[in-house]
Amino acid sequence: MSEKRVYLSSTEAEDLDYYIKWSKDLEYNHLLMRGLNYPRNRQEMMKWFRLDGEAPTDFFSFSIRTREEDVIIGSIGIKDVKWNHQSAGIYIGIGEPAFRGKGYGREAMELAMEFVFEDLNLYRLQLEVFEYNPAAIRLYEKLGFVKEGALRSALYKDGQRQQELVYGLLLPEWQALYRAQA
Amino acid sequence: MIRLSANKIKLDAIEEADFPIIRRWYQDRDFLSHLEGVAAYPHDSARLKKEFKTEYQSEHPFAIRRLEDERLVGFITLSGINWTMKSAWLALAIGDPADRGQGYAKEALALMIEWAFLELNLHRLNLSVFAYNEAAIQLYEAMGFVREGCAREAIHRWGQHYDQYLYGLLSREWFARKEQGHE
Repeated sequence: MSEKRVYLSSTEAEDLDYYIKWSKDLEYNHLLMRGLNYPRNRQEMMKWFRLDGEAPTDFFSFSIRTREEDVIIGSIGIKDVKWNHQSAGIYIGIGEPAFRGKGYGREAMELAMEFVFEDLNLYRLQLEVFEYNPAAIRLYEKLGFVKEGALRSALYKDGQRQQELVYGLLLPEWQALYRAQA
Repeated sequence: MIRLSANKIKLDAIEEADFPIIRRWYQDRDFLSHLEGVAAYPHDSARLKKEFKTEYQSEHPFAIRRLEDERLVGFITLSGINWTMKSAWLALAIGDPADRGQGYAKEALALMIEWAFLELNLHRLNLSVFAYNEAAIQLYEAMGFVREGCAREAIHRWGQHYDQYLYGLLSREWFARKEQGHE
């Protein structure tokens, strides 16, 4: 795999300053958030990122940082880990607009997928994406995720009912794509 | 499909009403010295409840009850589950001496092993046993556990030093043995 321009760091309480700023970007949240689109405060963010109590065992949050300048450009995480089923979900957002559409998200996804399949040793990785987010859909398909379903009218925004698409990637598929070369 | 009951016993939840009985076991020096690698000091009720309900809550304690009369005869636990490595530690006790040698532990162990391998999808089970616990050693070896290590003179009791053995069982070994007709 080629050298990455980004790395995944732990999520620190200070990082929430960025996440709070991004939560006020309505267009960003429209593309990513299933919940209500409104500005989050620090307490809510602490809670969402599970920084306010014991370290969770089913959730792993990372901040996406650039190697060169070491600035935070986004957030990525593994959620809903079901250990007995060896499955989990993934989410990603590149919060800094200047870093979108340049392949940073793809690099972060590749790093997180390695973590899922070779550190957590899980078998299934799932994500959900909204049908009106074609850039994300293109990325996930390029990464090898398989479209498994469409949740019809799962979203109702701006007076329109929209589909939420479900994508999945299994360990042997990931290995064939990323670990097959002789 | 997993099962939680066998011919003579079943694995069940531990209830508040079980604690007076468990407490009685934990007053017995012989019981304590076979179970834990610490001084055989009787446990009070509060400490016991804490161990079983709080400390072990994520660690799956099961009561072992006789099918014929629902009587509690012992317990079996999985602790220290390491999900990424897919391993855990197993511990087992039959409380009253009169209930030992009846095959209860063997049935409970078989149920717990399958629950660990089929429901939790673990790869490996660990356990440790003291060298003087011959009945337990015999049982674990009969169930396919392999002696993998020996902590020499790890246990100091009754004016002597004793070894502590480490045993392991892999999921594929268990199911291979099962196919060959064991258990």
